[in-house]
Amino acid sequence: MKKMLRSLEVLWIALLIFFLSSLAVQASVLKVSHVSPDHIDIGAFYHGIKLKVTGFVPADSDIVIRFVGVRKDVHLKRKGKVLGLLWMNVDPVTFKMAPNACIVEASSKYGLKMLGLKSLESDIEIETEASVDRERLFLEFLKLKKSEKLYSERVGSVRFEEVDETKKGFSVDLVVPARLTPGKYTLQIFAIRDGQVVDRAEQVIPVKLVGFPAFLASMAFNHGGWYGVLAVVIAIFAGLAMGFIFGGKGGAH
Amino acid sequence: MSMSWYLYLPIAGNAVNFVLILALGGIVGLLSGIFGVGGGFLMTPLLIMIGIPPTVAAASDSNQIVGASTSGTLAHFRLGNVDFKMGILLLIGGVVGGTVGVQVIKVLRALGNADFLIKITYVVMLGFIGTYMFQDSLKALRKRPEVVTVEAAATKPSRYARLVQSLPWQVEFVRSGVRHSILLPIGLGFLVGILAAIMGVGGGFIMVPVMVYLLRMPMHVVVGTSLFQILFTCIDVTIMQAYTNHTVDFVLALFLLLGSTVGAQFGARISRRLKGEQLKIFLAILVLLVMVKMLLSLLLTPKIMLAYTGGH
Repeated sequence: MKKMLRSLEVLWIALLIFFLSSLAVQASVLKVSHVSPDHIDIGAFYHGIKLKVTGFVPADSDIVIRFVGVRKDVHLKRKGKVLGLLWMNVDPVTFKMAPNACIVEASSKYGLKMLGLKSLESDIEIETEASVDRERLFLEFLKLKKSEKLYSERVGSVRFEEVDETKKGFSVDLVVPARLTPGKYTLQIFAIRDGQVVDRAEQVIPVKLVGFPAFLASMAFNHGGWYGVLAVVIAIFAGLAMGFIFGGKGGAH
Repeated sequence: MSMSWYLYLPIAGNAVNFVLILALGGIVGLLSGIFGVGGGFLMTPLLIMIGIPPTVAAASDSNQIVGASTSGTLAHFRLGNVDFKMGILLLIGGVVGGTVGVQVIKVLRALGNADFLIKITYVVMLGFIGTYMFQDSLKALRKRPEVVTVEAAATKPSRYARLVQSLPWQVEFVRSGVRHSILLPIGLGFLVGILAAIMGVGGGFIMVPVMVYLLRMPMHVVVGTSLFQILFTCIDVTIMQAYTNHTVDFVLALFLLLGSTVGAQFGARISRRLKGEQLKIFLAILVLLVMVKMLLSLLLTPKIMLAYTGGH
């Protein structure tokens, strides 16, 4: 009898733990319900699109959404003064495995602090002359990328909607820039609370060229020589055609 | 959606407003039609400003110049402004010089600090040519404001003139109305070719003053002949860039071309209306403006301390 009671007790405790932990799991769950579009086609008239992301996060958490491009080494030149007077490109700098694009949308400033552009510094290695201040170089790199609109971050575009005590709905329109090259991009969604990532989700967003741009790019990259000749021939004919159009209007001196 | 105004350029990897591209082409085409310069030194920085990568901007611009100079050459040919004999001799020298120049730049790159030398060469050349042309045409305009035909500096029998006359194989250049040794245009073409290759430009803005002051050709013939040469230089550059670097964006070039061919036609007409000295002084001002802009970019603290390599 005692044995039975004890095993019941154990069962009871086990059940309680299970129940509590499942509650805890439920509370920390991030769920992405919809990403639209789930791939990006770059056609002739593409000039940037809005990526609509919706889902649920724990009620007490903030959210950061990042659209991160293909990681590649970026070779740049550092500018410096020569002869104490003239600004020149002085020495080479390589940013190892820097994403070609990174768009960050966060629901709070503190989210940006944690997972914004500056947080990339930890996973981009900088190769250059030993004496140069890496941190300053990294900030200049961000400036350059921001000027090209390939890197950006902002707060306030995330909308929340109350669901119940444990979770809330979110939706955000992430603006994908016009300056986009094909490749595998990653959509990263983070739920954060008290300086910690409580949950995260990832989805690959393939970006590819379609239609005329795809045709042109394949010509240019696979048959470069012929592409060059064709470009010249068409340019000459266009030039001649324009010449004749205008010549016919009374340029006969 | 305002989708109709934008086109995605697959080689440049960016979308651009095509009305803007047409307008840029038109303005630069107008200038190139007036002065017989390719306009590469103006167009490339403008394209970079609207978000085209530097290497793609330079290569696509040479593709555009092929079309623009075809139409410009045609327009000037109709007006009797192209000296083919002189043009071909300069071209031969230019092609050889360009090839040598490319090797020179490779050596300089290997030695380091090539960029420094390139930029200094740029500023000094532009400053020198611009100032000289400006002073010279100002003098001529003040002295003889009624003069229509151009030949300002032909009277001085300088050491240079005596040297040039002593060269063998003297030939008559009917269109230009001058007599020179065939070695002179080939040699000068060679020097300009080297400089152009080092500076990474078509060389029109160096070639024009060379033809005016060293070959003593009349300004109108200079413009037509210069365009004729630029045509061939840019055909070569376009094919080489497309083949080796894949940086020619044909769609971009075509839209620039549509704008610039229209511009060039008007340019050729304006060029005909202006007097030679006026043309020279406008070109001098343009060259000096570009020089000042380059000088400022060397002197002022840059906004961003990093730059892409490849385009200058």
